[in-house]
Amino acid sequence: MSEVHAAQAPEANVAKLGPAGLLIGVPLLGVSIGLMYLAPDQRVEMAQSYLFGWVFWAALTLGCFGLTLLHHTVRGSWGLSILRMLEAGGGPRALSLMALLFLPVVGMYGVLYPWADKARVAADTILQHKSGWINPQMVTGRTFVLFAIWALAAAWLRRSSARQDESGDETEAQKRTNFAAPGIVFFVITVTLAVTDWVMSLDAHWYSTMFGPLFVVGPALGALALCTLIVCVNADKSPFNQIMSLSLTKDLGNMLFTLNLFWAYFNFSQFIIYWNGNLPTPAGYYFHRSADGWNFIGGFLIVFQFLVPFFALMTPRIKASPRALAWVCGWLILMRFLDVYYIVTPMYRTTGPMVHWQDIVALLGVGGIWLAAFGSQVKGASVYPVHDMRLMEAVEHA
Amino acid sequence: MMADKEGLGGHDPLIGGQQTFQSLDNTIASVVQDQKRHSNKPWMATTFIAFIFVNILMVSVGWLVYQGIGIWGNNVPAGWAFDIINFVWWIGIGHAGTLISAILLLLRQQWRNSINRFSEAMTIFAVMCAAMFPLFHTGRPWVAFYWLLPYPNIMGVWPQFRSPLIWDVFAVSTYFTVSLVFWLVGLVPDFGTLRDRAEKVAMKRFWAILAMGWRGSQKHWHRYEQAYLILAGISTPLVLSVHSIVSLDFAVSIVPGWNTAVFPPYFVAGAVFAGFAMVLLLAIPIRAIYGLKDLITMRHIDWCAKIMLTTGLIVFFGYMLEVYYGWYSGEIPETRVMLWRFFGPYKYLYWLLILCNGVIPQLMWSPKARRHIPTVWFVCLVVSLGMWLERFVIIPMSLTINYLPASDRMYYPTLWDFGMFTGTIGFFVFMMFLFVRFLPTINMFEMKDLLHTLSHGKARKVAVGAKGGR
Repeated sequence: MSEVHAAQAPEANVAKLGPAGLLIGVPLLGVSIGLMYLAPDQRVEMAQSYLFGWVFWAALTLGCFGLTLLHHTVRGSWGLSILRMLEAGGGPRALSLMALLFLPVVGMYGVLYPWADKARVAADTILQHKSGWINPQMVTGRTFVLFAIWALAAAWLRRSSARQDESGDETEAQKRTNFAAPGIVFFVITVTLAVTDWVMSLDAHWYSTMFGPLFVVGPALGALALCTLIVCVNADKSPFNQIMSLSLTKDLGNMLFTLNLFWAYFNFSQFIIYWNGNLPTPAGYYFHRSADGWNFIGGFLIVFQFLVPFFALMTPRIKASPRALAWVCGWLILMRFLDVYYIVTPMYRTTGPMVHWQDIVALLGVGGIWLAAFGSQVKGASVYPVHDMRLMEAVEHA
Repeated sequence: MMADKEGLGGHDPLIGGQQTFQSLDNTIASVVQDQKRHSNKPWMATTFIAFIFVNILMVSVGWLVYQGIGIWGNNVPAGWAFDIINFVWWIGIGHAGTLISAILLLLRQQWRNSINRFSEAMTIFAVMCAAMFPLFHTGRPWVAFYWLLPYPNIMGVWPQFRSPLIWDVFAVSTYFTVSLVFWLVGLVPDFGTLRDRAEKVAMKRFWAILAMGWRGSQKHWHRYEQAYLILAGISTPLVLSVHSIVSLDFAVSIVPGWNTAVFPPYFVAGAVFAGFAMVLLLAIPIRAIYGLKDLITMRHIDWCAKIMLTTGLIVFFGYMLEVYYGWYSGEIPETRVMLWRFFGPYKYLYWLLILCNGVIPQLMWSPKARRHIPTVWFVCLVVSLGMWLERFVIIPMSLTINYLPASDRMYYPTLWDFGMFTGTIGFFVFMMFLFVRFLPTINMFEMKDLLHTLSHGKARKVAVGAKGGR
């Protein structure tokens, strides 16, 4: 039955995203880096835009990697259809690439981060207090060491999964679980440290214990939305048409619903505590985002990142239709851009929310190269794991 | 219809032994209907000891009402101490019941069927214990409702709606009401079974009144399932909201160590952590005393232990965040609180907390340890202690150190603090053992439904083989 479907349906080619991404990414990334290093009047603006673009794609990469670890830990059947996409998005190539693309940020520490400005550190006791831990050498070292560990872990998981595809050896799955369960603990801790370095430290004084959890859940939502989008858009194409079922789209929809709910819960918790506490340093985060139009973006996110997908994903009809679910996923990805923009940009732009052309160039430049890495990693293996009996049962019943 | 002990794939079964619908009814209902099953010493001994503590509770409350809350160790600045620690501890313990009965139902996790009734009862009694503390902390509980509930009055005085303390009143009362209704609705079909099994006319009538005319018709089942799902839907957000609101009691204030954004999810994880520990702490001896090992199997214990490990790790992560950002903030009051916890006069309690909640629960990584009953029980005991210590660290330990060192003052509990706390433990255990004695501890019809599902191979992956039919 499945062979008949496969023979008749057009073939999905996820890997074709790679060349398209390269075509867009290479020139735009070249422009971004060129402007940062060769055009002094554009340097600050471009470096800020580049950091925003890099943070978005790095977070998405970590979201994919985190979900891969989660899948191997709990072995939920919801993850099987998107596992190869998660492995590509959070795989060794994407992680190594994001480490490489951090290099332009290293050269721009001085224009981005207060802790890299010696004069500011000398005048600020809090920056001095942190200077042993948050300084150019330590941040750079931590970033590259963490990316190296994440990439090695991702490579090992992917190789193990591929080995099982070939040999059918069930012990590989157990090995991955044994590795991924403590791995996810390590992942959450290290992501918290990393985003504190990359994003939180853009503000010399502000801090939040929720920042790490927010950067675990938000990017995971984006990663799941991207992978679900790919599966749903190709729902009638081979080989995805063999695994599509009502229960699959429902499971993916429920998982998106849960992550979206956690995203809102974490954000609401942070907001209500800092607003009610009304202390200058913690509440400063919302002070900067409560004027010049940022409040409009915040309100927009509440309605369109949380409430609209919340009700959409509560609707059984939407979760039953790959096409409808694909629209929700596409919308969620757009909202993820906006959310990262809302978190990162006001840290250094005191004017209202205005999309600068440099933001678009950097986002597409880094994103294009990211898609190239994603496409090339997808090409290296079957589109979904063939080793898991549950997926095979779905294929047999298709 | 039988289920075999050996499961597929070598896992522990969800239902052990050679079970039939009849045998399930017999095993569970006889605990309620057969006096001889309670002639064993453990039930009598535990209930008696618990009753002694109930008396201690009554004496403590009586003296408190007579003398006022000055008999407690609370002072200024530690205006919240044992009372609020115990409130948060008990509320947290209730959360496992709601998670098991509502969330796991919506997630179609049938392994909950053996432990949901028991956990729901635990929730209700835990919330009762919790509610006592803030109520008596008001000093005049007989007029507390006038202060806590918003009602139109000629003075035009309303509670402060911006205060989480008022949100707490609504959260806890909603939680108790919904949990109670959920529990009672779930009991109705089993009351029908008990009515049908009762031999004496008086008992038949008693169970018939409770069964509210339940006949088990298709229409009854249809309505029951709809009502149960709706109640599960209402209960699910309560798992997150109740303890989040409890955490806001602290987090929205500006006490150093309290104004921390991660408090809501960290409190919820802690609640589930403590709740599962208490479920196992009580379920393990009860399954042994009443021969329920075939219904609450090693698989249940293993999964509860895994949930405990996961939530425990989230809690431990919360401790790390507090320390890291306490230092990162560079703010002297935040750093002072951290140093006070590490090296201050209460340091032994802090490090004991780390041992109880951070170190010892890591034993649960080992599958062998998760299947070794004494180890699991020991870890649960340690976690229960650890979660109480956590609230001690958060509440009086943070309050005793302030922005102005001149305001710092030590806190010491009095015997009455311990009396009321141990009294509520006695009340909780007493009520749980009365529940075990007078109501079906395990959901009979859900177990039969599970047996039916397993025996018909609808859940091939779960570990009960289907070998025959009736």
